[in-house]
Amino acid sequence: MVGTIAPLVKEVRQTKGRLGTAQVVGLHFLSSLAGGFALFAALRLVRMGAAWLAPGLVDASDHAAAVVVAVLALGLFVAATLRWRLPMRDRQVPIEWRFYHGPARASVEYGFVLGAGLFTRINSAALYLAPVAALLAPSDWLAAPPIMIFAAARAGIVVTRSLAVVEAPPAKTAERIQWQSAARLRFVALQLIAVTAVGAAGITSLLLGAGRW
Amino acid sequence: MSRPRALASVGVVGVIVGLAAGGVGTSAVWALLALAMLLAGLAEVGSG
Repeated sequence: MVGTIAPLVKEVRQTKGRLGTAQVVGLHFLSSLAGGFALFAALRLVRMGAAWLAPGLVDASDHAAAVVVAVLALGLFVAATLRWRLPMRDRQVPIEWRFYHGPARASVEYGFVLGAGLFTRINSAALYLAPVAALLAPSDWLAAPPIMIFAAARAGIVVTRSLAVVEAPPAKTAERIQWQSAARLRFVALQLIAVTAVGAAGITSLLLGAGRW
Repeated sequence: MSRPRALASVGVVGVIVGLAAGGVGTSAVWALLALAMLLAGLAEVGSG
């Protein structure tokens, strides 16, 4: 997905209208979270329906949830290693939205679809685990984080890159090459910081909440 | 898949399977799952 949010940021910067850069990227981030939450809510409703129709099945899945997720993770790893083609909607967001709907509405629409994750091309096999985990998780508190973290991380990196790209020097210049190598280092640093922060938060919450979930 | 990425994937999957098989708990598996989702989201670094 290239050339969707960055052009919107560029457009509002050039027109200098009522809508600012912060609004465009903020709307994109929030609607991405809304997209993730919509998917989470839909899957939990499916689980509620299943619990009503077949309570025994849901009770059994509660006990086996961790093992099922682990086995699926192993299967996805094998599939990714062997480069098997996994089922997906192999399309990106419609580019025409930004021409017909304006920066604010397009930013919201792109965010919602990308935050839900499953309705565009899937670049990481791990994403298949999120809906399964949301269905099988014994509690809503366990079901929400995988999808919501994906939505936040995806929107965060897209917004960061969009803001950076708008500031980039013209293509095919020496300054552009320097900018690209510096930007790559910044993005790697950003990824490491985010992973470390979430890892530390996860370990802390595990230690503090051990046995309560 | 590059060698470091493959090794990292083997590590993450191995830990998840090990935790699940060892009965450490659903919350531990979900914590790793959340980390995997974070990596999946951040992998969209080429998008914008």
